[in-house]
Amino acid sequence: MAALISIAVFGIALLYIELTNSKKIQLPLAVVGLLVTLGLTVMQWNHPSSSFNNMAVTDNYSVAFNASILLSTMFVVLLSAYYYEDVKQHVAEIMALMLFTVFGAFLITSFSNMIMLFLGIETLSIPLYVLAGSKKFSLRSNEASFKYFLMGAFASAILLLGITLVYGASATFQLSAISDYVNNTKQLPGIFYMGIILILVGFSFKVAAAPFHFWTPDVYEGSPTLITAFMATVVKIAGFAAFYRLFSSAFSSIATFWEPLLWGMIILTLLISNFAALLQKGVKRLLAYSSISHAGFLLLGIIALNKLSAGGIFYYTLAYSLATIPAFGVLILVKNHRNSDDSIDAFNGLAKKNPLLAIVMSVALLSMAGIPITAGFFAKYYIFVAAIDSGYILLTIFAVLAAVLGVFYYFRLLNAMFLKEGEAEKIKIPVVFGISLLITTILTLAMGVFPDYIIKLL
Amino acid sequence: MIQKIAWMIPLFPLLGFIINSFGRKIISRNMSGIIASLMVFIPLIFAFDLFFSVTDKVTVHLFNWISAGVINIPFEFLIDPLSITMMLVVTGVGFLIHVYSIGYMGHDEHANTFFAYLNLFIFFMLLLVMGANYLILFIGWEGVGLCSYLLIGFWYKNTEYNNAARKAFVMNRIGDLGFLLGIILMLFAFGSVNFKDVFPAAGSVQSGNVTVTIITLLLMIGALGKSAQIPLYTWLPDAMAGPTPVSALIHAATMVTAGIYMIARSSILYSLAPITSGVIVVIGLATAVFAASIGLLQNDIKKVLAYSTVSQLGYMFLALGLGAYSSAMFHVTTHAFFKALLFLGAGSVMHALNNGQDIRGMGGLRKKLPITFITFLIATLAISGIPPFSGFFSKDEILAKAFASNPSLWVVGMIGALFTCFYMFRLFYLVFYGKFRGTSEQEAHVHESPLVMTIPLIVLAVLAFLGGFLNFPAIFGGKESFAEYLKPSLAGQYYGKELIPHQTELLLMASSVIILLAVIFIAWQVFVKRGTVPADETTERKGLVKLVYNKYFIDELYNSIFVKPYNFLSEKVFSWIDRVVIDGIVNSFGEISIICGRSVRKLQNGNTSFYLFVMAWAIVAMFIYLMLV
Amino acid sequence: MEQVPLAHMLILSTILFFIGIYGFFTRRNMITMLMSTELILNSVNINFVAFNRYLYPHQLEGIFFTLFIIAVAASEVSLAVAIIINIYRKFKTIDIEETDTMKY
Repeated sequence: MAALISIAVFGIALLYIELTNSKKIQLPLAVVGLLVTLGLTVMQWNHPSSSFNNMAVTDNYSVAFNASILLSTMFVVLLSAYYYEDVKQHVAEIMALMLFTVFGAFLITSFSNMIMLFLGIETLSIPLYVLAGSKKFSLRSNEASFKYFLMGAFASAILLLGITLVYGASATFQLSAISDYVNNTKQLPGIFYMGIILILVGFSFKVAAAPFHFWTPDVYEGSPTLITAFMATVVKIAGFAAFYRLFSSAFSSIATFWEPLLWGMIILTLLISNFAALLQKGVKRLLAYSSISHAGFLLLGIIALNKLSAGGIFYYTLAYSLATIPAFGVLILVKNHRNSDDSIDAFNGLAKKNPLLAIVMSVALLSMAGIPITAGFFAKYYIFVAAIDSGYILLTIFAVLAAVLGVFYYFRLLNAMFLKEGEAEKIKIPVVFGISLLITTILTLAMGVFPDYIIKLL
Repeated sequence: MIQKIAWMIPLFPLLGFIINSFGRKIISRNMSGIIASLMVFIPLIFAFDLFFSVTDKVTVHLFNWISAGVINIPFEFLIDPLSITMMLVVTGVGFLIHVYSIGYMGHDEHANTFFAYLNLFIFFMLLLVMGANYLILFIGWEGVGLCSYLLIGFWYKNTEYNNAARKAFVMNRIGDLGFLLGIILMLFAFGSVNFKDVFPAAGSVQSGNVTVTIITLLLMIGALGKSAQIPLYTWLPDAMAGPTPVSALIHAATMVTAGIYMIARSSILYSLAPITSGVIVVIGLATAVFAASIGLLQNDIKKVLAYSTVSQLGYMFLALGLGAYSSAMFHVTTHAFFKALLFLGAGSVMHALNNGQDIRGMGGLRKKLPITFITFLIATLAISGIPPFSGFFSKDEILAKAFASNPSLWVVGMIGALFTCFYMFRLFYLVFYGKFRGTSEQEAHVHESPLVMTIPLIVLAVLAFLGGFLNFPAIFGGKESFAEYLKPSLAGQYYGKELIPHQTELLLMASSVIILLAVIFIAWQVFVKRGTVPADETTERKGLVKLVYNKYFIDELYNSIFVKPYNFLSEKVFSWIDRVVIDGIVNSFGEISIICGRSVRKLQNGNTSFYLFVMAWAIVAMFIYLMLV
Repeated sequence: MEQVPLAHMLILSTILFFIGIYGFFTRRNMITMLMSTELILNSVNINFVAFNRYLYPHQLEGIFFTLFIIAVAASEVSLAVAIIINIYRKFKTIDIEETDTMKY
């Protein structure tokens, strides 16, 4: 509750700073705001509480996910100082919108009532529509923004319809009450099942699982790169936190009904994303497809639905964020240097003149590919163990195969950086930028060597 | 004490990697080489210390690594005779090759990066052999694969090298996939991947158990990729694109033997899976002969050695399949000595000739490169299996075990050994004897390598000469001390048994030695005599010698037995198999993926209405599912 | 006055919903598509209110939810119109099929 208020207050404060047009204190204020909120969040560890008439609960689950959201946002904000260096106005607005998105994310990691879920998703999405279009004079940015809005609104509407149907059957929005209703009713009405399907669709859209993933490549490509990094991390973390919270509490006792649907979606997601990624020329689009494939792996954690799931999903989302941010960070530098060329060829010979960037990028890619001693390896490992534990052996084998396929396109990029010739020049790395990249890289490696400390949290 | 030492062993190469990669700009090339060598030398000393203090299994617990539910995987090292042997080989041979590289890579502008990669490789290799569970082993396994990939493509300006690196990568991924599935299945079957849990649990399993058979088959696929066996061998000859010390260290002495190590480590599982063992025998023997036959006609000095490595690895697989795990490890050890020596010798020759690799452009180098000549001769004798050089003991041990199992295995194995002997001496004579056939420019340049390169050659030559006495066979009054030493680590059906009568064994040895000497002699005639004194054809000779010496006879024999069929076989059939079947399978996987990718991409047509349309139909499909259940 | 049965309400909302979906697929004008979104949201609103009024008259949760939806929808619309205006300035069109520069 305190964290929620804090993030909102700092967001509004940033908007006022915009009025005074004092650029120098924008970044420090945003960072301080995030740090204060992080402090308030962590203080709630092991102190569960509920707020808004029991419509939102703060437990260790939500604290862990919130902290990881704040951490990711922090890195994105740190990168933004350079990214928006040349832009004359509105930087504080962008930071404020990011904080509002985080506000929405907080709501959906800790909701215990459908109203909170809806409000959270909308508070999360609406600032993102604006952020996606924040490059006002770029065609692609506008196109991405509208596509995102249109499909997002469609998905929200579907989600809402699902909620009404569940409400029609169970007469409540409270998760615990829905769970009781499911357990105490012998013959559940058809509209309840329809409601579950529609809610599942709404969530699948938010986390970009096939066949509801279509917005992702286009929106990720069109949005400003930094915003893409933000969307890929924060939205994914929050989306999965909410997805698992809802399906593990309210609908867990009828898992046999929705698990086959999820099963099919996982197969489809892994197939489509990995095959499509193989042929991408642009790195940004490649990372977009890679993000879809990660959603496929994460869904394995939800379908497993056992005591390993929560920890596995948390570890995976954190590992994925810590890999995604530096990957997009390096992409920003390379792209700026090569006149907005973000094709794989732009990375040719990067290792020669810019070894630091190449190493940061490599660690990020290896982590995404799930190669050992990076966090990504254990991320996949825990998810697979959870799935095997619940008996999804065929599905896990399929996912392992998909992971192997994934290795190929990550290595195309590594190949370009280390083994190809390119007209590489030294790229100047801004100090804050470099530090953020290094910290994320070190965290990725540290998580890969000592995974137990993270996985034990949940 | 052991606890304190063990974790430091892999730490030093890692430290070396960090120093060399961060100090790339500051440290001079020589300094970087010295640091790298030192970081391998210190673990070598520690390994010796362990060798003298540990005779049984010691598990060194570092920290709790992964605990998820019932699965608990600690980060532990297993120190036992098997891992100590591998540690000694890796750090010992590794150290010598590091020292050699100071001279060999001294002129390369990226030498510091090279040393950083080499140190990183040693680090992962040590993880691989020291890990006390399959997961650490797998991490090392992937790590050495990565280093191999980076080092093959080290001279990345050349696209061909680049492709070689990629080929190695793809082939190894296929193997790794099998390995990973094996580990997952093991986790499922035994509930653990720790050696100390799996092996005792396997003790209660019936021989021929289906699960164990599948696990061992999957692990074997991993080993086939890493150790370059049929059908996943083609990457290794291509991997010779890397710098020569890399070929010596990674693609001859250490990394490629990781598959052998892994199977020996899992010997308890493999001894329970007769089907898998049978498959391994067939693959090993086929590879041994097949690769040796290809080696007969290669003209690139490193390619010959590469096929020879594949062939020798085949012998090790044969031993593993026969259950003679200690024999396989013994051959791993001696092979590490003589094959590293051969590669380093080849490197020395290439160094002298400005990187010329074609043996048709060499010749008569024995006077100009005396140390290289002598050490190369020792290695050649060792690999050919001439007593008392190390290769004789280790190869003979494997062949004797093969004979005990089935005499026909011995015959086939012996044919491979003949091929080996022939192509090695062909190489040797063509390089060091006869007239120099290179350019005059090269001839003026030819010089013996500096001391920093020749000293490792000499040390390895001593090892290649004496290595065989590690496991001096019982037949000559030895104690088979190597096999005895490894006993605590391996499942052995051969301990304490006399397999074949001593008389038979002596007869086998004698016959093989005589045949080998004859082959060397033939090679001498073909490549030295005939090459140097063509006029001698008409000279009067007697008996068998006359027949052998006879030009027509030899030409015909050589032509009809070796050249024509093998030209045909290796240029048409084998290379066809190589190109069409094996590459074809690999490529068609790639193509299928690309076709799938293309069609999937078409869905993403940029049109929002279409996206919404697909989403709506997906919802409809879900409702149909709802109506069905 | 005779009460309208619940079924009629639900039929109305379903019809509205499908009109909205139909609009989504067939219309190419962004403004029209925006209107379709509104139709879908309104059908959801009718659902909420109907369920609340007919099935659970003792509580007000469904009606509150409707209020939230109306508020959020309003903000979404204002945002969407802003984006559409921006697109019109760039593309000189608001046809959805012509804004497909990113694909594959």
